[in-house]
Amino acid sequence: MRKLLGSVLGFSAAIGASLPGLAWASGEAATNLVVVADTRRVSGVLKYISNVYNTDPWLFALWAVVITAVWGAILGFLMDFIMERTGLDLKSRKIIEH
Amino acid sequence: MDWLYMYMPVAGVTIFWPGLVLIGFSVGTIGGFFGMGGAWMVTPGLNILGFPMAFAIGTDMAHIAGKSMISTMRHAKFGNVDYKLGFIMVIGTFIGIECGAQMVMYLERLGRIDTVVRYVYVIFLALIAFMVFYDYAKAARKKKAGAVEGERGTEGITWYKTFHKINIPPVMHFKTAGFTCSAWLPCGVSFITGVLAGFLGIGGGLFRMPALVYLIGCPTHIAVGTDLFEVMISGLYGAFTFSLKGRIEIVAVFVMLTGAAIGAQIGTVATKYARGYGIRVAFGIAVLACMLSIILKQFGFSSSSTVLILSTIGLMCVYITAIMLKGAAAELREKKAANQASHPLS
Repeated sequence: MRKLLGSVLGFSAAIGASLPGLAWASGEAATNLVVVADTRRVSGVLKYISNVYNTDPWLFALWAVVITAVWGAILGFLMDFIMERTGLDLKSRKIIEH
Repeated sequence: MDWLYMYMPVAGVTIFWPGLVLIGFSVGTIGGFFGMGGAWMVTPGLNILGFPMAFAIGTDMAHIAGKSMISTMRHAKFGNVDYKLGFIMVIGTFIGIECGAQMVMYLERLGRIDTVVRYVYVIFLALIAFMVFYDYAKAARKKKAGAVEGERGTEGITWYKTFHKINIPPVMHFKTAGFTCSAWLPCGVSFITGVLAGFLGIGGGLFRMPALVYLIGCPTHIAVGTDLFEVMISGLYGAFTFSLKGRIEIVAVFVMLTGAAIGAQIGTVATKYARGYGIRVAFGIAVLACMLSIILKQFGFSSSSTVLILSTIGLMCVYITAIMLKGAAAELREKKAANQASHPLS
């Protein structure tokens, strides 16, 4: 087993060492892409988000994280509320490995 | 049937939104059960629905953060999250991801590295799959021979026992996970898995979950919960960086999270009724499917690769939902019987 692992790890290391050469041979770099949100087809909150996307990337990034976290937490609490009504014991479990 | 389609203002595409809910549900179920983000499943799914690849990756990252938050909340109630271990590993993961990302940027300056990344990905997935199945076979052989070791029962691979002998200070006790080791062990392991995650552009759950079990010595259930806690933090960071680059469709994240909220409950509660080795073997099969899909993609069989991923997702969802429903039904029956026994006249 140790011998087999040694050969597999050795092979992985060899691949790792050859990465720069392989990458060098593979082709040219991709060009950058600029995307602008279309604010003409949306309204309300979506229009605000799209405008922020176009004008202030930092504020957009901050909103994206806050909205994701808040929506995740709201859904988590909501599902918790529903699951507690199923009658299942959701606070303890036995760890059985095999 | 226009109401079934939703306009995504940032990506500029109209998407079939029930498809987004379904993807969220499936990945919520699988991620909650295995303790991983599931980027390898979401990205091709979003791509099929019509998202450009760049948006698919960023959107997926934000969705994973929210979904992992929901799963972590549930796992925490079961006592499956070791926060101390999670926080220590977050440090190593972040430094590792940054190093991995720097490696990619260096290689990118040299040219396109897609092929190279795929080869490295396949090699590591093959190693993980081999490790999982070898561990299972060894444990099954030991059990058959009647060998029972320690409080966890029969185990196959126990490399963590050797690593726990490293006594470089600070040595810490992780109460929830139930072991004591040098803090450098989780830090080092998370750094290595972080480098891999950063290099391959994935969340890292695929590597971290088995690393937590085999190298750090977590019981499978705690590895799943603690890994999800980490995926949540790294996912939020990923969501921030991808948003900054403008590669995220926040409306899609919202819709997907709604499906994921339900799926995450199924996946997480199913771990209560599954044995540790059951989770490990199913995880190994998921890793194999992921590996085969990458190989197919590399050789130009993109459609077959997508079909393989979608079929795996479907089958895994059915398997996990069946475990959950079967276990929940048995538990409710037992409760009812116990109630009737204690109150025979009611």
